Amino acid sequence: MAPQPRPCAVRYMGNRQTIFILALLLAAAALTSCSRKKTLGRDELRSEIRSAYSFVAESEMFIDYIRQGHATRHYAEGHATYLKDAVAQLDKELEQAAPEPGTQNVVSDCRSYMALLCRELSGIATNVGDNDALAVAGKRMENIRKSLERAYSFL
Amino acid sequence: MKKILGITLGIMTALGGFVDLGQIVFTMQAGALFGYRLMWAIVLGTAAIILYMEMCGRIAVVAKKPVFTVVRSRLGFPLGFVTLIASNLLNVITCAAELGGIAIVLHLLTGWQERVLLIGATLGLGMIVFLFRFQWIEQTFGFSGLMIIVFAVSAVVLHPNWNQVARGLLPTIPPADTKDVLLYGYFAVGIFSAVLMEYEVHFYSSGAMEEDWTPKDLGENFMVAAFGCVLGGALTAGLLLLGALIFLPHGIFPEILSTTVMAGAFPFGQKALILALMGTLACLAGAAVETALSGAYNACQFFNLRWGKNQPAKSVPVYTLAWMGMFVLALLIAASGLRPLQLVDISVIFGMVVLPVTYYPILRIAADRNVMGTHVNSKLDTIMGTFFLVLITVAAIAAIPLMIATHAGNP
Repeated sequence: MAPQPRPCAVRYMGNRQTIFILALLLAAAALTSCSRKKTLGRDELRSEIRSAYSFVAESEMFIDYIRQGHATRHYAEGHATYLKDAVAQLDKELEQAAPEPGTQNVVSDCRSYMALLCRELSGIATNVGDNDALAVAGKRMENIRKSLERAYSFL
Repeated sequence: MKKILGITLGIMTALGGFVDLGQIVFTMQAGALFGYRLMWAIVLGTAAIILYMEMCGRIAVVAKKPVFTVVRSRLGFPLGFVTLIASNLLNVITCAAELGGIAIVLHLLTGWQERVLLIGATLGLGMIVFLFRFQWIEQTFGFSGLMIIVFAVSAVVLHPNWNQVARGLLPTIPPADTKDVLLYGYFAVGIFSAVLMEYEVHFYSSGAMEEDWTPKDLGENFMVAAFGCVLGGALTAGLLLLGALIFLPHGIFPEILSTTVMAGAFPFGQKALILALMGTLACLAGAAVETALSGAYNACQFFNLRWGKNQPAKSVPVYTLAWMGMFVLALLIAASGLRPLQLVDISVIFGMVVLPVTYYPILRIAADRNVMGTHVNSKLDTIMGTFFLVLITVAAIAAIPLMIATHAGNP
Protein backbone atom coordinates (compact mmCIF):
# COMPACT_ATOMS: atom_id res chain seq x y z
CA MET A 1 0.00 0.00 0.00
CA ALA A 2 1.30 3.35 -0.96
CA PRO A 3 1.90 5.71 1.95
CA GLN A 4 -0.85 8.23 2.46
CA PRO A 5 0.24 11.82 2.02
CA ARG A 6 0.01 13.77 5.27
CA PRO A 7 -3.07 15.94 5.38
CA CYS A 8 -2.44 19.61 4.88
CA ALA A 9 -3.50 20.43 8.41
CA VAL A 10 -0.87 18.06 9.86
CA ARG A 11 1.88 19.60 7.75
CA TYR A 12 0.61 23.00 8.77
CA MET A 13 0.74 21.93 12.42
CA GLY A 14 4.34 20.81 11.92
CA ASN A 15 5.31 24.21 10.53
CA ARG A 16 3.37 25.98 13.24
CA GLN A 17 5.17 23.99 15.92
CA THR A 18 8.53 24.85 14.38
CA ILE A 19 7.61 28.51 14.19
CA PHE A 20 6.34 28.40 17.79
CA ILE A 21 9.57 26.83 19.04
CA LEU A 22 11.65 29.35 17.09
CA ALA A 23 9.57 32.21 18.46
CA LEU A 24 9.96 30.81 21.97
CA LEU A 25 13.73 30.56 21.54
CA LEU A 26 13.91 34.11 20.21
CA ALA A 27 11.79 35.40 23.07
CA ALA A 28 13.97 33.53 25.56
CA ALA A 29 17.09 34.99 23.96
CA ALA A 30 15.58 38.48 24.02
CA LEU A 31 14.53 38.11 27.66
CA THR A 32 17.94 36.78 28.63
CA SER A 33 19.69 39.68 26.95
CA CYS A 34 17.27 42.18 28.51
CA SER A 35 17.71 40.73 31.96
CA ARG A 36 21.50 40.67 31.49
CA LYS A 37 21.40 44.37 30.73
CA LYS A 38 19.58 45.13 33.94
CA THR A 39 21.73 43.21 36.43
CA LEU A 40 25.05 44.69 37.41
CA GLY A 41 27.10 42.43 39.66
CA ARG A 42 30.25 43.51 41.45
CA ASP A 43 32.48 42.16 38.70
CA GLU A 44 30.58 44.03 36.01
CA LEU A 45 30.61 47.17 38.11
CA ARG A 46 34.38 46.88 38.58
CA SER A 47 34.68 46.59 34.83
CA GLU A 48 32.52 49.69 34.30
CA ILE A 49 34.53 51.70 36.82
CA ARG A 50 37.73 50.55 35.17
CA SER A 51 36.32 51.82 31.90
CA ALA A 52 35.37 55.13 33.49
CA TYR A 53 38.87 55.42 34.99
CA SER A 54 40.35 54.76 31.55
CA PHE A 55 38.30 57.56 30.00
CA VAL A 56 39.36 60.04 32.67
CA ALA A 57 43.03 59.09 32.38
CA GLU A 58 42.76 59.37 28.61
CA SER A 59 41.13 62.79 28.89
CA GLU A 60 43.99 64.00 31.10
CA MET A 61 46.51 62.73 28.57
CA PHE A 62 44.56 64.44 25.81
CA ILE A 63 44.60 67.76 27.69
CA ASP A 64 48.40 67.52 28.03
CA TYR A 65 48.66 66.67 24.34
CA ILE A 66 46.73 69.81 23.38
CA ARG A 67 48.71 71.96 25.80
CA GLN A 68 51.94 70.84 24.16
CA GLY A 69 50.56 72.19 20.87
CA HIS A 70 50.54 68.74 19.24
CA ALA A 71 46.84 68.67 18.29
CA THR A 72 45.23 70.52 15.40
CA ARG A 73 42.04 72.39 16.21
CA HIS A 74 39.84 70.00 14.19
CA TYR A 75 41.42 67.00 15.87
CA ALA A 76 41.06 68.48 19.35
CA GLU A 77 37.39 69.30 18.81
CA GLY A 78 36.61 66.00 17.11
CA HIS A 79 38.41 63.80 19.64
CA ALA A 80 36.82 65.66 22.57
CA THR A 81 33.39 64.95 21.05
CA TYR A 82 34.15 61.26 20.47
CA LEU A 83 35.42 60.93 24.04
CA LYS A 84 32.34 62.70 25.37
CA ASP A 85 30.06 60.38 23.38
CA ALA A 86 31.87 57.33 24.74
CA VAL A 87 31.57 58.62 28.31
CA ALA A 88 27.87 59.39 27.77
CA GLN A 89 27.38 55.84 26.46
CA LEU A 90 29.00 54.43 29.58
CA ASP A 91 26.78 56.64 31.74
CA LYS A 92 23.72 55.36 29.84
CA GLU A 93 24.75 51.76 30.49
CA LEU A 94 25.06 52.51 34.19
CA GLU A 95 21.69 54.25 34.18
CA GLN A 96 19.96 51.24 32.62
CA ALA A 97 21.60 48.76 34.99
CA ALA A 98 20.12 47.50 38.26
CA PRO A 99 23.03 47.45 40.71
CA GLU A 100 23.56 44.64 43.20
CA PRO A 101 22.42 45.53 46.75
CA GLY A 102 25.11 47.52 48.55
CA THR A 103 26.60 48.98 45.39
CA GLN A 104 23.93 51.58 44.54
CA ASN A 105 25.98 54.43 45.99
CA VAL A 106 29.05 53.46 44.01
CA VAL A 107 27.00 53.41 40.80
CA SER A 108 25.44 56.74 41.63
CA ASP A 109 28.86 58.29 42.41
CA CYS A 110 30.32 56.87 39.22
CA ARG A 111 27.49 58.39 37.20
CA SER A 112 28.04 61.80 38.76
CA TYR A 113 31.77 61.60 37.95
CA MET A 114 30.89 60.74 34.35
CA ALA A 115 28.61 63.78 34.20
CA LEU A 116 31.48 65.95 35.48
CA LEU A 117 33.84 64.49 32.92
CA CYS A 118 31.34 65.15 30.11
CA ARG A 119 31.17 68.77 31.20
CA GLU A 120 34.97 69.09 31.16
CA LEU A 121 35.16 67.48 27.71
CA SER A 122 32.50 69.86 26.39
CA GLY A 123 34.68 72.78 27.43
CA ILE A 124 37.78 71.60 25.57
CA ALA A 125 36.64 72.89 22.15
CA THR A 126 36.34 76.45 23.48
CA ASN A 127 39.57 76.27 25.45
CA VAL A 128 41.96 75.09 22.70
CA GLY A 129 44.81 77.60 22.77
CA ASP A 130 44.10 78.67 26.36
CA ASN A 131 46.67 76.62 28.27
CA ASP A 132 45.71 78.00 31.68
CA ALA A 133 42.08 76.98 31.28
CA LEU A 134 43.16 73.58 30.03
CA ALA A 135 45.49 73.15 33.02
CA VAL A 136 42.61 73.87 35.38
CA ALA A 137 40.40 71.38 33.51
CA GLY A 138 43.22 68.83 33.75
CA LYS A 139 43.40 69.36 37.52
CA ARG A 140 39.66 68.77 37.86
CA MET A 141 39.97 65.59 35.80
CA GLU A 142 42.73 64.41 38.12
CA ASN A 143 40.33 64.83 41.05
CA ILE A 144 37.67 62.82 39.22
CA ARG A 145 40.19 60.06 38.58
CA LYS A 146 41.19 59.94 42.26
CA SER A 147 37.53 59.76 43.27
CA LEU A 148 37.03 56.84 40.89
CA GLU A 149 40.04 55.09 42.44
CA ARG A 150 38.37 55.41 45.84
CA ALA A 151 35.07 54.11 44.44
CA TYR A 152 36.88 51.11 42.97
CA SER A 153 38.51 50.32 46.29
CA PHE A 154 35.08 50.04 47.96
CA LEU A 155 34.18 47.06 45.79
CA MET B 1 60.75 48.78 -12.52
CA LYS B 2 57.81 46.42 -13.20
CA LYS B 3 59.01 44.21 -10.35
CA ILE B 4 59.25 47.15 -7.94
CA LEU B 5 55.75 48.28 -8.84
CA GLY B 6 54.51 44.68 -8.59
CA ILE B 7 55.43 44.75 -4.92
CA THR B 8 52.61 47.24 -4.33
CA LEU B 9 50.12 44.36 -4.63
CA GLY B 10 51.76 42.83 -1.56
CA ILE B 11 51.92 46.19 0.20
CA MET B 12 48.28 47.08 -0.46
CA THR B 13 47.10 43.58 0.41
CA ALA B 14 49.08 43.54 3.63
CA LEU B 15 48.35 47.12 4.70
CA GLY B 16 44.65 46.68 3.99
CA GLY B 17 44.66 43.42 5.90
CA PHE B 18 47.13 44.10 8.71
CA VAL B 19 46.57 47.78 9.41
CA ASP B 20 42.82 48.09 9.01
CA LEU B 21 40.50 49.52 11.61
CA GLY B 22 40.21 46.24 13.51
CA GLN B 23 43.92 45.69 13.71
CA ILE B 24 44.75 49.26 14.75
CA VAL B 25 42.36 49.32 17.71
CA PHE B 26 42.55 45.64 18.65
CA THR B 27 46.34 45.49 18.74
CA MET B 28 46.70 48.72 20.69
CA GLN B 29 44.18 47.42 23.22
CA ALA B 30 46.22 44.22 23.53
CA GLY B 31 49.36 46.29 24.19
CA ALA B 32 47.50 48.45 26.69
CA LEU B 33 46.41 45.37 28.64
CA PHE B 34 49.30 42.94 28.32
CA GLY B 35 52.32 45.02 27.28
CA TYR B 36 54.59 43.10 24.92
CA ARG B 37 53.26 39.67 25.92
CA LEU B 38 51.26 39.14 22.73
CA MET B 39 54.08 39.89 20.30
CA TRP B 40 54.25 36.16 19.51
CA ALA B 41 50.70 36.20 18.13
CA ILE B 42 51.74 38.82 15.54
CA VAL B 43 54.84 36.85 14.53
CA LEU B 44 52.90 33.59 14.27
CA GLY B 45 50.10 35.22 12.25
CA THR B 46 52.61 36.89 9.93
CA ALA B 47 54.43 33.62 9.24
CA ALA B 48 51.10 31.91 8.53
CA ILE B 49 49.86 34.60 6.16
CA ILE B 50 53.16 34.68 4.22
CA LEU B 51 52.92 30.92 3.73
CA TYR B 52 49.29 30.92 2.64
CA MET B 53 49.53 34.06 0.54
CA GLU B 54 52.45 32.56 -1.37
CA MET B 55 50.44 29.36 -1.91
CA CYS B 56 47.46 31.36 -3.21
CA GLY B 57 49.65 33.30 -5.62
CA ARG B 58 51.26 30.06 -6.81
CA ILE B 59 47.90 28.35 -7.35
CA ALA B 60 46.60 31.38 -9.23
CA VAL B 61 49.66 31.42 -11.48
CA VAL B 62 50.13 27.68 -12.08
CA ALA B 63 46.61 26.27 -11.95
CA LYS B 64 44.95 29.52 -13.05
CA LYS B 65 42.53 29.07 -10.16
CA PRO B 66 41.67 31.88 -7.76
CA VAL B 67 40.69 31.06 -4.17
CA PHE B 68 36.93 30.69 -4.53
CA THR B 69 37.21 28.40 -7.55
CA VAL B 70 39.44 26.25 -5.35
CA VAL B 71 36.98 26.46 -2.44
CA ARG B 72 34.12 25.23 -4.62
CA SER B 73 36.11 22.45 -6.25
CA ARG B 74 37.39 21.08 -2.93
CA LEU B 75 34.45 21.68 -0.57
CA GLY B 76 31.64 21.00 -3.03
CA PHE B 77 28.70 23.30 -3.78
CA PRO B 78 26.76 23.23 -0.45
CA LEU B 79 29.67 23.87 1.94
CA GLY B 80 31.37 26.10 -0.61
CA PHE B 81 28.20 28.18 -0.91
CA VAL B 82 27.93 28.56 2.87
CA THR B 83 31.58 29.66 2.90
CA LEU B 84 30.85 32.17 0.13
CA ILE B 85 27.90 33.66 2.04
CA ALA B 86 29.88 33.83 5.29
CA SER B 87 32.92 35.35 3.57
CA ASN B 88 30.93 37.99 1.77
CA LEU B 89 28.93 38.83 4.87
CA LEU B 90 32.22 39.43 6.66
CA ASN B 91 33.49 41.45 3.71
CA VAL B 92 30.43 43.71 3.89
CA ILE B 93 30.70 44.14 7.67
CA THR B 94 34.43 44.86 7.44
CA CYS B 95 33.88 47.28 4.55
CA ALA B 96 31.20 49.06 6.60
CA ALA B 97 33.56 49.34 9.57
CA GLU B 98 36.30 50.77 7.33
CA LEU B 99 33.92 53.30 5.76
CA GLY B 100 32.81 54.37 9.23
CA GLY B 101 36.46 54.71 10.23
CA ILE B 102 37.21 56.76 7.10
CA ALA B 103 34.40 59.19 7.99
CA ILE B 104 35.83 59.57 11.51
CA VAL B 105 39.35 60.26 10.24
CA LEU B 106 38.07 62.75 7.64
CA HIS B 107 36.07 64.48 10.37
CA LEU B 108 39.21 64.77 12.49
CA LEU B 109 41.06 66.24 9.51
CA THR B 110 38.43 68.69 8.29
CA GLY B 111 35.83 69.18 11.01
CA TRP B 112 33.06 68.55 8.45
CA GLN B 113 29.95 66.53 9.26
CA GLU B 114 30.66 62.84 9.62
CA ARG B 115 27.56 61.65 7.75
CA VAL B 116 28.31 63.85 4.74
CA LEU B 117 31.89 62.59 4.77
CA LEU B 118 30.72 58.98 4.95
CA ILE B 119 28.63 59.36 1.81
CA GLY B 120 31.28 61.44 0.03
CA ALA B 121 34.05 58.97 0.86
CA THR B 122 32.03 56.00 -0.36
CA LEU B 123 31.25 57.78 -3.62
CA GLY B 124 34.89 58.79 -3.98
CA LEU B 125 36.15 55.25 -3.45
CA GLY B 126 33.52 53.93 -5.86
CA MET B 127 34.72 56.39 -8.51
CA ILE B 128 38.36 55.43 -7.99
CA VAL B 129 37.56 51.73 -8.36
CA PHE B 130 35.37 52.38 -11.40
CA LEU B 131 37.80 54.63 -13.25
CA PHE B 132 41.23 53.20 -12.40
CA ARG B 133 42.85 50.04 -13.68
CA PHE B 134 43.81 47.42 -11.07
CA GLN B 135 47.50 48.35 -11.08
CA TRP B 136 46.67 52.01 -10.44
CA ILE B 137 44.41 51.08 -7.55
CA GLU B 138 47.02 48.91 -5.86
CA GLN B 139 49.76 51.48 -6.40
CA THR B 140 47.62 54.38 -5.12
CA PHE B 141 46.63 52.63 -1.90
CA GLY B 142 49.89 50.71 -1.53
CA PHE B 143 52.12 53.79 -1.64
CA SER B 144 49.81 56.18 0.22
CA GLY B 145 49.34 53.59 2.96
CA LEU B 146 53.06 53.81 3.69
CA MET B 147 52.39 57.06 5.59
CA ILE B 148 51.25 54.82 8.44
CA ILE B 149 54.95 54.15 9.08
CA VAL B 150 54.79 57.19 11.36
CA PHE B 151 53.18 54.86 13.95
CA ALA B 152 56.22 52.56 13.94
CA VAL B 153 58.59 55.56 14.08
CA SER B 154 56.71 56.89 17.11
CA ALA B 155 56.98 53.51 18.80
CA VAL B 156 60.75 53.38 18.27
CA VAL B 157 61.25 57.01 19.38
CA LEU B 158 59.47 56.21 22.66
CA HIS B 159 62.25 53.71 23.47
CA PRO B 160 60.62 50.37 24.13
CA ASN B 161 62.50 47.91 26.31
CA TRP B 162 63.80 45.62 23.57
CA ASN B 163 64.64 42.82 26.01
CA GLN B 164 61.01 42.70 27.11
CA VAL B 165 59.89 42.92 23.49
CA ALA B 166 62.06 39.87 22.71
CA ARG B 167 60.58 38.03 25.70
CA GLY B 168 57.13 38.71 24.23
CA LEU B 169 58.04 36.49 21.29
CA LEU B 170 57.49 33.48 23.56
CA PRO B 171 53.90 32.82 24.68
CA THR B 172 53.48 33.29 28.42
CA ILE B 173 50.23 33.31 30.35
CA PRO B 174 49.85 36.41 32.55
CA PRO B 175 50.15 35.69 36.28
CA ALA B 176 46.70 36.96 37.22
CA ASP B 177 43.11 35.80 37.70
CA THR B 178 41.00 33.68 35.35
CA LYS B 179 39.43 36.73 33.75
CA ASP B 180 42.82 38.05 32.67
CA VAL B 181 43.76 34.66 31.25
CA LEU B 182 40.53 34.60 29.22
CA LEU B 183 41.17 38.16 28.04
CA TYR B 184 44.69 37.18 27.05
CA GLY B 185 43.27 34.27 25.04
CA TYR B 186 40.67 36.54 23.43
CA PHE B 187 43.27 39.06 22.29
CA ALA B 188 45.68 36.34 21.11
CA VAL B 189 42.92 34.84 18.95
CA GLY B 190 41.81 38.29 17.79
CA ILE B 191 45.29 39.38 16.70
CA PHE B 192 45.93 36.07 14.97
CA SER B 193 42.58 36.36 13.17
CA ALA B 194 43.04 39.99 12.19
CA VAL B 195 46.44 39.21 10.65
CA LEU B 196 44.97 36.27 8.72
CA MET B 197 41.76 37.99 7.54
CA GLU B 198 40.65 35.88 4.62
CA TYR B 199 39.94 38.76 2.25
CA GLU B 200 43.71 39.26 2.04
CA VAL B 201 44.25 35.94 0.28
CA HIS B 202 41.16 36.38 -1.91
CA PHE B 203 42.37 39.78 -3.02
CA TYR B 204 45.96 38.69 -3.47
CA SER B 205 45.24 35.64 -5.62
CA SER B 206 42.77 37.61 -7.77
CA GLY B 207 45.33 40.42 -8.04
CA ALA B 208 47.97 38.00 -9.30
CA MET B 209 45.55 36.96 -12.05
CA GLU B 210 44.60 40.57 -12.80
CA GLU B 211 48.30 41.26 -13.35
CA ASP B 212 48.67 38.22 -15.63
CA TRP B 213 51.44 36.63 -13.61
CA THR B 214 53.06 33.59 -15.21
CA PRO B 215 55.21 30.79 -13.69
CA LYS B 216 58.22 33.04 -14.42
CA ASP B 217 56.87 35.42 -11.77
CA LEU B 218 56.83 32.82 -8.98
CA GLY B 219 60.02 34.21 -7.44
CA GLU B 220 58.40 37.61 -7.40
CA ASN B 221 55.28 36.03 -5.84
CA PHE B 222 57.25 34.96 -2.79
CA MET B 223 59.03 38.33 -2.54
CA VAL B 224 55.78 40.27 -2.86
CA ALA B 225 53.98 38.13 -0.26
CA ALA B 226 56.92 38.13 2.15
CA PHE B 227 57.78 41.83 1.83
CA GLY B 228 54.17 43.00 2.16
CA CYS B 229 53.46 40.77 5.13
CA VAL B 230 56.72 41.52 6.96
CA LEU B 231 56.00 45.24 6.54
CA GLY B 232 52.44 44.71 7.78
CA GLY B 233 53.71 42.60 10.68
CA ALA B 234 56.28 45.24 11.66
CA LEU B 235 53.61 47.95 11.64
CA THR B 236 51.29 45.76 13.72
CA ALA B 237 54.12 45.20 16.19
CA GLY B 238 54.51 49.00 16.30
CA LEU B 239 50.85 49.30 17.29
CA LEU B 240 51.35 46.82 20.13
CA LEU B 241 54.41 48.75 21.32
CA LEU B 242 52.46 52.02 21.30
CA GLY B 243 49.70 50.45 23.38
CA ALA B 244 52.27 49.14 25.86
CA LEU B 245 54.29 52.37 26.02
CA ILE B 246 51.59 55.02 26.04
CA PHE B 247 48.44 53.49 27.49
CA LEU B 248 49.48 50.66 29.81
CA PRO B 249 51.33 52.86 32.35
CA HIS B 250 48.25 55.11 32.71
CA GLY B 251 45.63 52.35 32.92
CA ILE B 252 44.04 53.49 29.66
CA PHE B 253 42.13 51.03 27.49
CA PRO B 254 41.83 52.72 24.07
CA GLU B 255 38.30 52.29 22.73
CA ILE B 256 38.13 55.07 20.14
CA LEU B 257 39.85 55.31 16.76
CA SER B 258 40.89 58.92 17.39
CA THR B 259 42.76 57.81 20.54
CA THR B 260 44.85 55.36 18.56
CA VAL B 261 45.68 58.01 15.96
CA MET B 262 46.94 60.28 18.74
CA ALA B 263 49.22 57.44 19.88
CA GLY B 264 50.58 57.13 16.35
CA ALA B 265 51.97 60.66 16.50
CA PHE B 266 52.39 60.97 20.24
CA PRO B 267 56.02 62.13 20.55
CA PHE B 268 55.75 64.57 17.62
CA GLY B 269 53.91 67.74 16.67
CA GLN B 270 50.94 68.63 14.50
CA LYS B 271 52.53 67.63 11.18
CA ALA B 272 53.04 64.09 12.47
CA LEU B 273 49.43 64.01 13.65
CA ILE B 274 48.26 64.97 10.19
CA LEU B 275 50.56 62.31 8.70
CA ALA B 276 49.15 59.71 11.11
CA LEU B 277 45.61 60.72 10.13
CA MET B 278 46.45 60.57 6.41
CA GLY B 279 48.21 57.20 6.80
CA THR B 280 45.26 55.78 8.72
CA LEU B 281 42.91 57.16 6.08
CA ALA B 282 44.90 55.52 3.27
CA CYS B 283 45.01 52.15 5.05
CA LEU B 284 41.30 52.19 5.88
CA ALA B 285 40.48 53.21 2.31
CA GLY B 286 42.70 50.42 0.98
CA ALA B 287 40.93 47.92 3.24
CA ALA B 288 37.49 49.18 2.15
CA VAL B 289 38.43 48.76 -1.52
CA GLU B 290 40.01 45.38 -0.83
CA THR B 291 36.90 44.02 0.92
CA ALA B 292 34.49 45.40 -1.71
CA LEU B 293 36.51 43.94 -4.58
CA SER B 294 37.02 40.65 -2.71
CA GLY B 295 33.27 40.27 -2.39
CA ALA B 296 32.88 40.66 -6.15
CA TYR B 297 35.82 38.32 -6.91
CA ASN B 298 34.43 35.65 -4.57
CA ALA B 299 30.95 35.66 -6.07
CA CYS B 300 32.12 35.60 -9.70
CA GLN B 301 34.80 32.97 -9.11
CA PHE B 302 32.39 30.73 -7.23
CA PHE B 303 29.75 30.85 -9.98
CA ASN B 304 32.37 30.79 -12.74
CA LEU B 305 31.34 34.18 -14.16
CA ARG B 306 33.59 36.62 -16.00
CA TRP B 307 35.45 38.98 -13.69
CA GLY B 308 38.33 41.43 -13.79
CA LYS B 309 38.93 45.04 -12.86
CA ASN B 310 40.84 45.59 -16.07
CA GLN B 311 37.94 44.39 -18.23
CA PRO B 312 35.44 46.95 -19.53
CA ALA B 313 32.58 47.19 -17.01
CA LYS B 314 30.02 46.15 -19.65
CA SER B 315 31.79 42.87 -20.32
CA VAL B 316 31.83 41.92 -16.61
CA PRO B 317 28.39 43.17 -15.49
CA VAL B 318 27.94 40.86 -12.48
CA TYR B 319 31.42 41.63 -11.19
CA THR B 320 30.87 45.39 -11.53
CA LEU B 321 27.44 45.28 -9.93
CA ALA B 322 28.78 43.06 -7.15
CA TRP B 323 31.51 45.44 -5.98
CA MET B 324 29.17 48.40 -6.30
CA GLY B 325 26.57 46.47 -4.29
CA MET B 326 29.19 45.74 -1.61
CA PHE B 327 29.87 49.47 -1.25
CA VAL B 328 26.17 50.33 -1.13
CA LEU B 329 25.40 47.68 1.50
CA ALA B 330 28.41 48.70 3.55
CA LEU B 331 27.35 52.35 3.35
CA LEU B 332 23.86 51.47 4.56
CA ILE B 333 25.26 49.53 7.52
CA ALA B 334 27.73 52.29 8.38
CA ALA B 335 25.00 54.94 8.12
CA SER B 336 22.62 52.93 10.32
CA GLY B 337 24.34 54.23 13.44
CA LEU B 338 26.29 51.08 14.34
CA ARG B 339 29.67 52.16 15.62
CA PRO B 340 32.63 51.02 13.46
CA LEU B 341 34.31 49.35 16.42
CA GLN B 342 31.21 47.26 17.18
CA LEU B 343 31.38 46.03 13.60
CA VAL B 344 35.08 45.31 13.97
CA ASP B 345 34.48 43.06 17.01
CA ILE B 346 32.05 41.04 14.93
CA SER B 347 34.25 40.81 11.85
CA VAL B 348 37.47 39.89 13.68
CA ILE B 349 35.97 37.10 15.78
CA PHE B 350 33.48 35.69 13.27
CA GLY B 351 36.19 35.99 10.62
CA MET B 352 38.21 33.51 12.67
CA VAL B 353 35.36 30.99 12.52
CA VAL B 354 35.34 31.03 8.70
CA LEU B 355 39.12 30.84 8.31
CA PRO B 356 39.58 27.03 8.39
CA VAL B 357 37.19 26.44 5.48
CA THR B 358 39.02 29.06 3.42
CA TYR B 359 42.55 27.92 4.17
CA TYR B 360 41.99 24.14 4.06
CA PRO B 361 41.20 23.96 0.31
CA ILE B 362 44.20 26.17 -0.47
CA LEU B 363 46.54 23.78 1.34
CA ARG B 364 44.97 20.76 -0.38
CA ILE B 365 45.37 22.19 -3.89
CA ALA B 366 48.87 23.56 -3.31
CA ALA B 367 49.95 20.09 -2.16
CA ASP B 368 48.29 18.31 -5.10
CA ARG B 369 50.93 17.27 -7.64
CA ASN B 370 48.27 16.54 -10.29
CA VAL B 371 47.23 20.18 -10.27
CA MET B 372 50.47 21.97 -9.43
CA GLY B 373 52.98 19.76 -11.29
CA THR B 374 56.56 20.77 -10.51
CA HIS B 375 55.31 23.77 -8.50
CA VAL B 376 53.66 21.57 -5.87
CA ASN B 377 54.30 22.36 -2.18
CA SER B 378 57.59 21.20 -0.74
CA LYS B 379 57.30 18.84 2.26
CA LEU B 380 58.22 21.73 4.55
CA ASP B 381 55.48 23.93 3.04
CA THR B 382 52.89 21.22 3.65
CA ILE B 383 54.07 20.49 7.20
CA MET B 384 54.05 24.20 8.10
CA GLY B 385 50.74 24.73 6.32
CA THR B 386 49.19 21.85 8.28
CA PHE B 387 50.64 23.18 11.55
CA PHE B 388 49.11 26.62 10.93
CA LEU B 389 45.82 25.09 9.80
CA VAL B 390 45.60 23.21 13.13
CA LEU B 391 46.30 26.48 14.99
CA ILE B 392 43.69 28.30 12.90
CA THR B 393 41.14 25.58 13.66
CA VAL B 394 41.87 25.66 17.41
CA ALA B 395 41.56 29.46 17.38
CA ALA B 396 38.33 29.21 15.37
CA ILE B 397 36.82 26.86 17.94
CA ALA B 398 37.90 29.08 20.83
CA ALA B 399 36.89 32.41 19.24
CA ILE B 400 33.19 32.65 20.09
CA PRO B 401 33.37 31.13 23.62
CA LEU B 402 36.17 33.59 24.41
CA MET B 403 34.14 36.49 23.01
CA ILE B 404 31.18 35.56 25.22
CA ALA B 405 33.30 34.91 28.32
CA THR B 406 35.13 38.24 28.06
CA HIS B 407 32.16 40.36 26.88
CA ALA B 408 34.04 41.01 23.61
CA GLY B 409 37.32 41.83 25.31
CA ASN B 410 35.99 44.16 27.97
CA PRO B 411 38.60 44.32 30.77
